Amino acid sequence: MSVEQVVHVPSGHEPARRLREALTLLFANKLASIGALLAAAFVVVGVAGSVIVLVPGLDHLYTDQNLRAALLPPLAPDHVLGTDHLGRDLAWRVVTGSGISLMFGVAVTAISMAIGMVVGSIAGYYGGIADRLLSGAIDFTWGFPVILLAVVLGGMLSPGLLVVGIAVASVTWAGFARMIRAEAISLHEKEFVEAARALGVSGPRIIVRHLLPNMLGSTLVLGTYYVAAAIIVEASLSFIGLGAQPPMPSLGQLIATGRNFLSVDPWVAVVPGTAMALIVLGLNTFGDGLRDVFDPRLRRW
Amino acid sequence: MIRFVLSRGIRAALIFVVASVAVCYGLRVAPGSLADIVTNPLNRAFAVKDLEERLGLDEPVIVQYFVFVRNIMGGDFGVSFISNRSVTEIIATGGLNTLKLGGAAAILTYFISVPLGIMAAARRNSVIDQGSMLIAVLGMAIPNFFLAILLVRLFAVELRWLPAAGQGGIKHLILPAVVLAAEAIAINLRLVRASVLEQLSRDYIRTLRAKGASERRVVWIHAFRNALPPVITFGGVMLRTLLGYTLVVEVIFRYPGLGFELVDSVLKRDYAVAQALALVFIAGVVLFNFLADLGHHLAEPRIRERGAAG
Amino acid sequence: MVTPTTGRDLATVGGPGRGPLLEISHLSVRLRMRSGPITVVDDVSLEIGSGEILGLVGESGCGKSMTALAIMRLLPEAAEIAGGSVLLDGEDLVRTKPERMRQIRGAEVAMVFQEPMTSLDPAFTVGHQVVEAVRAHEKVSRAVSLRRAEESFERVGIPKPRERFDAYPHQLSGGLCQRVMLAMALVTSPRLLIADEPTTALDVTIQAQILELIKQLRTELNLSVLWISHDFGVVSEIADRVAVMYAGEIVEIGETSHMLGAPRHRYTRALIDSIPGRGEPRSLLRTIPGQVPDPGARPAGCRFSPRCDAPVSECELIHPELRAERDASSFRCHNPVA
Repeated sequence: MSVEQVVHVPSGHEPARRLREALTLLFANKLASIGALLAAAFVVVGVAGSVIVLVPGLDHLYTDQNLRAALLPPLAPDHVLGTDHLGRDLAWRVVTGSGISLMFGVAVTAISMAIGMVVGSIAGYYGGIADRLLSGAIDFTWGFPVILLAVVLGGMLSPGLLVVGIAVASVTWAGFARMIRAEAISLHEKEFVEAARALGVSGPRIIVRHLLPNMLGSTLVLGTYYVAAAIIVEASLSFIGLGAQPPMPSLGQLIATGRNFLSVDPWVAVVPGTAMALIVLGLNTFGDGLRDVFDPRLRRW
Repeated sequence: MIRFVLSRGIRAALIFVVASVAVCYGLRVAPGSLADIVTNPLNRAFAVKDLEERLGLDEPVIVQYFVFVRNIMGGDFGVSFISNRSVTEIIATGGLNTLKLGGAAAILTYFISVPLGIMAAARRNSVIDQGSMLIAVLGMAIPNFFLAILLVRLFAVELRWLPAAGQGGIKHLILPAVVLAAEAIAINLRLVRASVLEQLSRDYIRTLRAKGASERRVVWIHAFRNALPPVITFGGVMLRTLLGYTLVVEVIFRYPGLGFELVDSVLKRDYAVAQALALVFIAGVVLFNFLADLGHHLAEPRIRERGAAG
Repeated sequence: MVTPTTGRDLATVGGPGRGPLLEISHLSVRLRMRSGPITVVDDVSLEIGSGEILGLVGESGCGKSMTALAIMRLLPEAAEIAGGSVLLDGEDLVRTKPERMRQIRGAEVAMVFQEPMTSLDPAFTVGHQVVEAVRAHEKVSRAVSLRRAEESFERVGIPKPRERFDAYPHQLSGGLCQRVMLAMALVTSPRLLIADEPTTALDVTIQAQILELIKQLRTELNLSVLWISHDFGVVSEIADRVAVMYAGEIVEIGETSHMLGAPRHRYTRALIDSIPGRGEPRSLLRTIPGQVPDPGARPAGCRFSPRCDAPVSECELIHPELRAERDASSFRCHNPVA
């Protein structure tokens, strides 16, 4: 019998069964089900939007202008969600914007999650001087206002999605690191980890094989929240002109455009704004549902 | 206690120095030198040289940093390249406006979220509870800039009760403060509720009831007192987040505070202003961090004990 | 003579002059579960005389704590009293108004709990918490309530009461915390003290001290005590009478010395046999095989039958009634110990 087998038994997961139980629990909660549905819808729409952004030759969907069909309200013929001041189709623009939000949110969160996992598990597992240094960095970074950082970075580099992404990732990694560090410390004492150590399994191997799989649930929950947060930050900055630059139709920018036509045609702002609210609502309630399933004790902060 | 304040104070100061170096360095080595934007392309070579000399930009960055620090110590934050206003003056007037806005938002946040959160926890599943959870869900889902648009449309465009933007009396403060506070209210409401609920399930609550303490005392004094540490800790995070969002909200409402000036200076590449204001904001972040640590320390007898012992 | 009994039929054993202070009749407590209600306290009838110590024994999960919490009307949210009455001096606590119940709690019926460390509010000094107990019931000045608290501290044997006043619970040992709990419970001179496993979390020496203290206070204050424990050994040291609970119901009740010598129910005998130091010397400590049945899946007949060492054919089919004996003890068994 290999060391891995010996060590793995007591930690005892059966991923398939656990997943099934988790899903049953999740859908027992009404609010969480709605959240899951909204989140799923967002992913579907977002993937379509990403295709529009990434595949060349599709940009006409959201850039084609028709001044004679400008500022149409929703449910107009050919334009389900109406048009903006240049007669561009709002539905396509919202789909594209959702694509940008999805790609941005997921990419940035994945990067911060990776950084946070490395830093957090090193700090938590090894302790000592490494922990003191890394914890200091985590403490300072955690809760640093992302918007402020993005604005200052925007001043150093040129404003755009990349800068916002860097700003968000360089703060949110600390959230993951904080949580993973705490869990690594508590897991460090667990029997199966001690057994693995006693059997001479190396530190990185224990982290990868035992600590990280145990944190998957909590990490996923936090990840869901952070995707929502990243999307809001991006939209906020786009709204004030420091995020995605035109002609990229980020949701924040769509809302900013709509703002100019508020008294003429509020739909130009309300359509993307509602889309944005539904996305965030979906992700947050889905995250809450996941949290109740995976780790009722996990707090949001 | 003194030790704690000192050690955290020193840490805060160190963090601030590191951050200030980063900001100065970052803004000065920024690609697309400021002169590109400020000057007329026709006499660029001359103008750039002139500007750089005038601002000391031809010196090594480290020298520039110390010059900058020396100037700050003397109360001189420099002058805007664009408007020629003194940065000190911008900080003074903008700072006051931002303090008003931030203060109003913070007061709004706590005066609404704390009592509502406690009531929601005390009467779980009641109308109050469900109503406050609805507020929490909406407050978190609706991005504040979109909320701003909706409120402006309703209260400024339709009802004409409040001004849509600008700065003036209390009336100009209401919409920005509400928008700034909205998300914080939502989050804090959830936090207070969850924290009080957690306390209400503790053993000592049963003891209190067993000795005949009134329900009001149990909830508002004991459960709330024990629910405070996470609320205080989070208060630090929240104030920092509010600080970040002042940038957005001030721009939306064209409210002439530090956030508006900072975004404006960044968009216009007005580095002297951007640098000084960024430092003011970072000082705020570090200060809130420190205050939250201090508050948490005071709120938790067990931590206080350990701090005193070692 | 074998007849089904109710609480009323149970004669009070305390002797002359000790009328029942607390009279629990047919008390049932239900837990609302997603799968439907579950009865955790099932038709329990008990009496406690004035100045009497009644022990309530059973394994964890048998419903003893729920019974205690039901008396105090401090049941967790998911639980509710499904029927029966709890008369304190003739006043039905089950039906009394919430504000009146609050006045009774602490002032007339006090309670101490199993975990002294977590049962005190960590954010307030212990002195404050005891003073609070006084002021919850009496409009007295701070000075008076302080003096009362100090007396109470002295009464339960806390050395240097004044110095302990400003301590936070985490600064005190478990034993001291339990004394503080007792001081807090007794500061308002209640007539009944409900002690829910108050010594379980403490080490043996401290436990012995607390037992001594309770006995002494009973004599000094004519205090009635409902002493709840899973440990028959502890109960036998302190209680005048013992009620044994199993799977939500009383299975045997009687005088302590009598029951120790001649238990009738086989569960009682098993509990007594598992007291360390009894039975054959140096034999292995006896344990009862199996565990308390899940309240949702109790056997139809005798609830103890699956674990019983001498079941007869009726046991699986017929749920035994509580039978009263001539000596005012009663038990619930088809095949009692001779």
